[in-house]
Amino acid sequence: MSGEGQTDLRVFREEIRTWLAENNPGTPPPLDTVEMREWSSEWQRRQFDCGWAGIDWPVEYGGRGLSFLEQIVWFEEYVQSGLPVGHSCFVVALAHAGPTLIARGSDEQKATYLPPILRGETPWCQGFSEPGSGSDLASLKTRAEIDGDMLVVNGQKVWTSYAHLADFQELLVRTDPAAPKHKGITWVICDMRTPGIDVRPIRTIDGGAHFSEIFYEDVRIPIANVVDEINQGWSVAMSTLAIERGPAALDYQLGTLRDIDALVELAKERQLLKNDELAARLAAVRAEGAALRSMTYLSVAEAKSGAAPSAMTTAVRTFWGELQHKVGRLAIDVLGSDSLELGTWSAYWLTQFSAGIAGGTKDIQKNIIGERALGLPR
Amino acid sequence: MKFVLSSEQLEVGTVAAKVLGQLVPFARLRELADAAEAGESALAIDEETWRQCAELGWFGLGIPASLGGVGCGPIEEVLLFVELGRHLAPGPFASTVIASWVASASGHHDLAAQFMDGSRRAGLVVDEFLVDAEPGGLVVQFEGPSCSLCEVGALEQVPSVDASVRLARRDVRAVVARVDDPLLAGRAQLLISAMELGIAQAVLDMSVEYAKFRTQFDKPIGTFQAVKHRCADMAMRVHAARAQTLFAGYHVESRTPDAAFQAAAAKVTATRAAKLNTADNVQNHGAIGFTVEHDAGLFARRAHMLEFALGGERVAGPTLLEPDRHRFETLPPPVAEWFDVAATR
Repeated sequence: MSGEGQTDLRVFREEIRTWLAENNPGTPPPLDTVEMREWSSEWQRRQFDCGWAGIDWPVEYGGRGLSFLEQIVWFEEYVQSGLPVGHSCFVVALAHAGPTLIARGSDEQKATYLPPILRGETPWCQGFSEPGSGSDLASLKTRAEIDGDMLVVNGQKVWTSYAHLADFQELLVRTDPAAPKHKGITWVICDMRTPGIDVRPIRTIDGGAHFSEIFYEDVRIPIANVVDEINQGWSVAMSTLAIERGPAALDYQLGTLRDIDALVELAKERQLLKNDELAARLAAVRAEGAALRSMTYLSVAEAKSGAAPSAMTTAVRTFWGELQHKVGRLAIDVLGSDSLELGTWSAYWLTQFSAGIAGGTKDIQKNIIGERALGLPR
Repeated sequence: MKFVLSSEQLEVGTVAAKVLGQLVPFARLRELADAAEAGESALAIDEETWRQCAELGWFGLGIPASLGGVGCGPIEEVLLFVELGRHLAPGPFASTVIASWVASASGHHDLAAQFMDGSRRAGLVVDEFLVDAEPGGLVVQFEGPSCSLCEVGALEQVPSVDASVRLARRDVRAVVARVDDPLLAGRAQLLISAMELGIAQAVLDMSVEYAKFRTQFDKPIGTFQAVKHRCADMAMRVHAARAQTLFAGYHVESRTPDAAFQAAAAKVTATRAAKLNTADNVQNHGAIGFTVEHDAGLFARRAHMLEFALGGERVAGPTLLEPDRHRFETLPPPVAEWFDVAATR
């Protein structure tokens, strides 16, 4: 990049910093409720109105059409400003469904679903896992029969975040039970207000109420909602997973670096850096935080260069999950018995248990690294 | 990584790998170590091999061409040192490269020329020891933001955990040259990190190969999750160390405000990768990995020697804990270039 480009980037960064300082909502988002949807929707709309939504999304779908470099600068400044990342009912829409539709959706689907996502109108949820299909996702059993120009869905999904707040769902269904398990799956856009859908909440060990199980009874979905072709859903889901395990989570990853900073600050306040063991562990998580960012930037750079997503992209996700485990445990050790009182860090500790499970357990991810990146036998 | 690094940069590593495979195969490494242990040689590597490395420009790789060097930067240095680590090259490669920097930056151009042409080498001060120092030679010593070249006093050799690395009690005399540059230590840390990365990668490759062909219970042991996941852990450490070492290389090259922080992060990440991977590699090989005939032990020993170079985690730790927060605002220009592609998704 030329010197001029660097100056432009600094100006862009300053612009974001100023805008965030002046437009920061000021209050944290309410948890897992209808008020959360309102809060997140309003905040997303504000970003959109001022040109800060979908920075690297195509202009025709409401984005800015800039490069991922500007998107990264936005994420960096967003996290730096102290705004909360991670808990939002727009996560799936912005970081998952949107990028999948951009990659695999039809022009009509893109035109229909992408702009409302950026305007903060339509939260999405994911419908992948089932009670019998976790790590072995391709064994999923939720059926969709073709009836004219409709799919008729019967079955059950589980571990769905923000289903009770979502308008749409990225739903995986079995359309050909006779085909080998990866070949009979379809990826379809499901309107969550369709009759026959029953969402039941599931509480999590950190007190969260964003999880649900979902029951489908004769739910009719237009075949026009199928993304890519019928029975091509596994390949669409794999592009989604590549996004999920790679760059899409960049702002949350940078959020972990900020959590580490807060923990180092807490240890300094408590004068715990003179404890060699704690200081060494804190230094190690800081180093791993830096490495996480470097790994992500490298894998994003590779993905942007058009290279096929490397199985090592999975390694970034797994490394991040294990880092969260370390940060959670370290927080307890910094606080000592003060962590008995339920507070920010004890809640963090409870939440980090999910870091080795969500988006594919670290066990299955290590199989993927071993088999696809290293070529070890199955 | 193909996209991120230019073909000229990758060539540095390719050439080094080929040359090192010919000059110091592991059989030669063992001969040199035996000679050192038997007291037959004061040097970790013979003069002839050393001169051949010098002819390739390795000791002046990062010195500006106007000062007699090759004119490359930290990234090329990293790519060279990854191969030196992977091949367990014996000899004071890192400290001699650092000595060239110091001599050159302090205006001792004759001395710098001697390091670059292979007629002189420099050892390294590691706490109470001198590593690969020669009688009457020079050693590199870091103290805070300054780096000095010092004369060696009496050279009292002590047994080294890695016989291919010569170890003596510290006896440092007059300072011959000195440079005050807080970033020099960071750049030096990257050379060590790169060697550690090379070691971590080499033992990952060894483990994966072994896990593919060694069978027990009528299956390759790589089918068992206990082994497969250990290999996956090794691969993640390599991935993290490589990304951080390269990323830090760009920061040092661009002299960004957090270059020292990034380099310290590279050292800690790479040290962990080398020490944990070499240990896992012994485990993956079972009893054969515990024998002296097997190379697994050579890697574990070398990783141990590098762990403490440049103060190890005791020096890197405070650098990592000092800032209030990770800084995001100083993306080095080459990193910014990676992402400067129009939106195409």
